Amino acid sequence: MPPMDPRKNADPARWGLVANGDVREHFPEREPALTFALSEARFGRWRHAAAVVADSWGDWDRRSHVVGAVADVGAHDDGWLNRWRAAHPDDPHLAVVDAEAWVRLAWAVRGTAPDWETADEHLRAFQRVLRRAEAAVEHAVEVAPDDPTPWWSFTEIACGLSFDHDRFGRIWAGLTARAPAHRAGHDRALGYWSERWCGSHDLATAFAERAANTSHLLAALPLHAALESAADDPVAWRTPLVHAALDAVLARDHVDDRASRTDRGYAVLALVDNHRYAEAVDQFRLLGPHADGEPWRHFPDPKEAFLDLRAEACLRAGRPTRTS
Amino acid sequence: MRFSLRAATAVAMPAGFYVLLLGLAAGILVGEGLLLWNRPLTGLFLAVFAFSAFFALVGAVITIGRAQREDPVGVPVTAHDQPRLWDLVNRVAAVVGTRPPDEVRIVPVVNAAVSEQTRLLGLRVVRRRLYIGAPLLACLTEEQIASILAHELGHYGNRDTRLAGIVMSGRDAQLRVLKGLKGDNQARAVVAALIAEYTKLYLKVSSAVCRGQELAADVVSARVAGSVTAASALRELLVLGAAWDVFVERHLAVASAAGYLPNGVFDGFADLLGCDELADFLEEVRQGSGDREQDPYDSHPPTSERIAAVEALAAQPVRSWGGGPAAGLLVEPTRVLDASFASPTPVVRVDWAELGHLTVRARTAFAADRLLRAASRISGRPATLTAVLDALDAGRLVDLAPDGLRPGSASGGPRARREFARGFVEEDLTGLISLAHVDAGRARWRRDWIGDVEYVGVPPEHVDAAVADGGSTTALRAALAAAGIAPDYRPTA
Repeated sequence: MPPMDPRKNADPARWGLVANGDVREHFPEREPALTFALSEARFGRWRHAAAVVADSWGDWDRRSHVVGAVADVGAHDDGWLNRWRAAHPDDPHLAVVDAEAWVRLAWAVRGTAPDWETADEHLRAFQRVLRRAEAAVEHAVEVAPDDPTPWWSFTEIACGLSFDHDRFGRIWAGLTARAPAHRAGHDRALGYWSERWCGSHDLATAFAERAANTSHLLAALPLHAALESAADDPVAWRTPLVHAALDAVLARDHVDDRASRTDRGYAVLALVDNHRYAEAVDQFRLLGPHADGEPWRHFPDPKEAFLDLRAEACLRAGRPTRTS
Repeated sequence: MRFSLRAATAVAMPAGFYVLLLGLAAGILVGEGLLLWNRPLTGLFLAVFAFSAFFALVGAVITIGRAQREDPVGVPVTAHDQPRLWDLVNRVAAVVGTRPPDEVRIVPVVNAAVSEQTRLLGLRVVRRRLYIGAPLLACLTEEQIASILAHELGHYGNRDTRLAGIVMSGRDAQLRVLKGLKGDNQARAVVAALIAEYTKLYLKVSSAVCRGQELAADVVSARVAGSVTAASALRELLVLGAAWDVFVERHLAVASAAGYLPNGVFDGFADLLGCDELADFLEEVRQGSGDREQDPYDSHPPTSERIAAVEALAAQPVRSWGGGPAAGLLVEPTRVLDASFASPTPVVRVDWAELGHLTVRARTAFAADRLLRAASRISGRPATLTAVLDALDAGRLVDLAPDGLRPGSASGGPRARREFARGFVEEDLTGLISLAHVDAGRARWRRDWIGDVEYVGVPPEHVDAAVADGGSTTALRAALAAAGIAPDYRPTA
């Protein structure tokens, strides 16, 4: 048997962390009503999904999560969506779900590999379905004029169809007029402004800075932007903007929801790059077993990336701050 | 006969190449011998490497000796068949002061060339061949052809084809050796790297020699046909070359892949040269902005440089060569020029007016045939339009798509598979319906000289409703009936 790699096999319990085996990439949905609605929809029954979507009205961040989860099921199989439509053809919530489902369907026919690794027929199908999605979004905007959610779907279409900056600006105005600090919308817009899609590192950073100044809920966005530019810019994690964002995230009270876990994940990347290992271990302690979502899903093997970084942070942090 | 130092070097270097290869081989043998004697273990370890390199070198020496045999291309024309063309060749040869070629061949490229088969290191000439590009005969004037012939025969007059022969075969041999040494073997890679340096140096020296010869031949061309004609011929060669690439790539190649070639190839080429779509592009080439990036190992100097040199001479023609179209030099020009195109596959010769249409039809029929066969496989009934529409009404969209195509995401569900299939079926069904309208005489395809396709006639409507989820083919069937298309329509090949 080869010698154990101490970097990977140090006992995380010594740092007060959950065991490697407990760390997971996937966790079930926590809201019982949504969990049940999704399961019903998978069986082809639409009523609970319709109710949970209607119920999310007004809390736009939560609504984007609910609509996204429901739309995922609709992109997989749309029998229940069609039955919902047959029963309530003019339901605005249905239109909103339908639009986002088309966006997710476009990604399903394309796959998520970068352009240069994607076959021509998949790229062409992606654009064709996104154009169909555009029509669905326009319908949703018409029947649910106060809802920012279809505008959130629209930002993703703008990205995939490479709308020019003016046209994107109009969509962005539509979204922010209805929800100035829309979290998921800002995530997608950052994608649009990234160098990979329609912008550049500078444009993405400037966008993240504006967002961070808009609302404390968006304070971590410069960290998200830093990950994008880190491949080309060795000091991406060491700018005053990133340090300020990091301070804002670390100063927050601990809330165990998806958005804060995402921000903490990015904070870990920034802390390790800045050799602040003990603080990184503190963040890992708050993250617990959650290697789900961002930033981990940007790595080829999310769980491995999480565990490697965690082991590195522990070893470099040195003496455990706490024993269990 | 005077050689420049450069030319002498260029001729001497192939000999140096032998010395280099044999020296390396001998060095390896001696070195390996000494190693085995003094340090047997290291010697044995390196033996595999050393002998592999040794055999690579010996192989290289043998490769050089194996001269390439020239395989004549194009269609030969005899003095009996084409007296006026041969007369021009003979007259130009007389003015240049060299023996006329033994053979004239017409080739389907924008170029002219001379070649000699020689024995005894180029001292005895076995056969001289003159190649003339069919596009030149079709599009240039007599005097421009005379100028080009003077350039090519000028290579004979300068006695540089024989010298060039040695230089060129030296170039070929070294490039061949390099190619032969490409491989996965490390020993070969090291030898190849050594040789590559020598070859690069040689190519540089020899291309300078070749370029000098080209400029000298241009001088002959200007003295014979006059500077104005020689310069205009060089300029037109650029334009014809650019237009010819478009012509072959977008028309001849596409048509022959569909099983067709045009009658009167050069009537079409003349139309393409004069068409509006390409006018700007060709004018740019004519003004010289289309001059290609110069390859450092190219045997020709840049055309702009050659034109400037020829014009600077301000030479008057030695006699009049005739300003009429060069095609007038040929008996039955259309037949002779068309014959220079041999298609690798059997083709049907059709008129230009039909060619674009038939090419698009063949391509569309190919895709439609796939759709029809899929429908027939699903229903077990004959492959007709009705079988396709019935399959759609039965919700078999996914089964109508080409085999083996899957959405990009492995976790895509049934909806993604259906949506991905829809794109292909819609495209192929649109093709099939267009084809049905075309075959019923209700539409045609037009293809312009750039190669863009336009469908003119009754449009293929109601296809989107036929492939939509929960859609219907009713409107499409009604439109087809109204257009007089039979339900059991199937395209013939």
